[in-house]
Amino acid sequence: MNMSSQTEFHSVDEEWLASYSAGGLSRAKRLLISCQAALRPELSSRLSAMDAVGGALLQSAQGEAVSDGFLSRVMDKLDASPAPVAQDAKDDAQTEPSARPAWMPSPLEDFLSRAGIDLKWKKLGFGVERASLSTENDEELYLLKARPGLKVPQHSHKGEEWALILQGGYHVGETGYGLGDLHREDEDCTHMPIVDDHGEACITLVALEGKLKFSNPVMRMLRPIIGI
Amino acid sequence: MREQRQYPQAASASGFKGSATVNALPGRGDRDAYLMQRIVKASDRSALEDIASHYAPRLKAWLMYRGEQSSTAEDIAQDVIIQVWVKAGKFDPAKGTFSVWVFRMTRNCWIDHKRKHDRLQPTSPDIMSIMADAPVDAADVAVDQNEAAEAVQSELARLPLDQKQMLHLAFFEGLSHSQIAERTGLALGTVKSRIRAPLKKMQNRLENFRGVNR
Repeated sequence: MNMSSQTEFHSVDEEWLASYSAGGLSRAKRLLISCQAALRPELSSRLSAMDAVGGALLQSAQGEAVSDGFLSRVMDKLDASPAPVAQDAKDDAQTEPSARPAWMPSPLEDFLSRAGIDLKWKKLGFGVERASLSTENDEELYLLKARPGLKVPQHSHKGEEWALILQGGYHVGETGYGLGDLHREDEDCTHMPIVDDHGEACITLVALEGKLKFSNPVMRMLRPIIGI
Repeated sequence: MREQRQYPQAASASGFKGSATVNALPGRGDRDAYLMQRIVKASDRSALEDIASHYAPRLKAWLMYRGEQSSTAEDIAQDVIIQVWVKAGKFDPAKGTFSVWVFRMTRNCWIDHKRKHDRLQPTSPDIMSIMADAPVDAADVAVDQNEAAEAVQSELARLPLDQKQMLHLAFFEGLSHSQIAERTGLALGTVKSRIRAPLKKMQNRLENFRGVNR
């Protein structure tokens, strides 16, 4: 588990955030960070500082000479591009109110709407539902909804698992994870989360490399059926 | 005929490739803001030329550090410059400096390029673009950006050389902390602390400007 040393909420450490700013994260992890920044202004502030450094470096760093004719090619392309237009402040004001569920952060809403994904929750049993969003390079992105009080069977992972809590919460041992917390586990960790029993389901946005490895042999047999 | 401009002349960039080339460029932020205003208000092509002359080589360097070939890096840099023109109306100097705006735009264009050229197709062809466009700045409040940018630049300029080098490697060259440790021969923990400390300072400076310092 990685917890920020600078704030009181759970997130990934500075190296992951630096990688986000430098453009190095996978698309699934990138979405989780964007969503957490929308939920946690403190994280947004940290990312802004990193982008400020990136911008300052870009402004002042040594460049790589461009080829002859680069500027001419750019100027030629301008003729085929729309002219710049001042943005009308009313544009933002006239935006229709979002119809997204209360638990859904705006980056996730943008992601779903622009990719044309309709959430389809699939019941896995044991009070768990899952909605798949994408798979790339053996990394799955999905939403998981678990009923209050659920004890998730002990498991580890073949790769990294990042889980961002969008509603409710859970505990792993003494450590609690709530709304806006980003919980990272790697393959060295075995854990048994218990969903908080406060009346609402726990919804998490998950980026998972590989598959879960359950300690319980029954769960190992069921895994191909329930699809996690 | 080109308009006589009244903005300050930017100092030329100095330093050498692969080093900690973090040198304040006095007046560059004001100059960029002025040029963007010219683009929006008068569709001033010479203003875009000015911006392209300064930033295109730096965009190309940033892209080549990420493994792109020279010609591909120029293609992407060209797309970024065109986007600067087309989206100029969306640039709000009250919310951020041009260099940060174009930094994010470059990152997004590169991610989009990777998506288009990735042999392993994602579930949805538009997903990478969505990632690229996903908003980051929840703390989207007006800041005195000139002062904030100067604060960041002056913080950078004051840093010891080794810390400047760490930031350059992490944010410009895009190396992981482990790769930086390998490159520099420093312990991983030392790399982390040399990156974390100046970032924390800059974050505090920026939060002070936003008035949310805790």
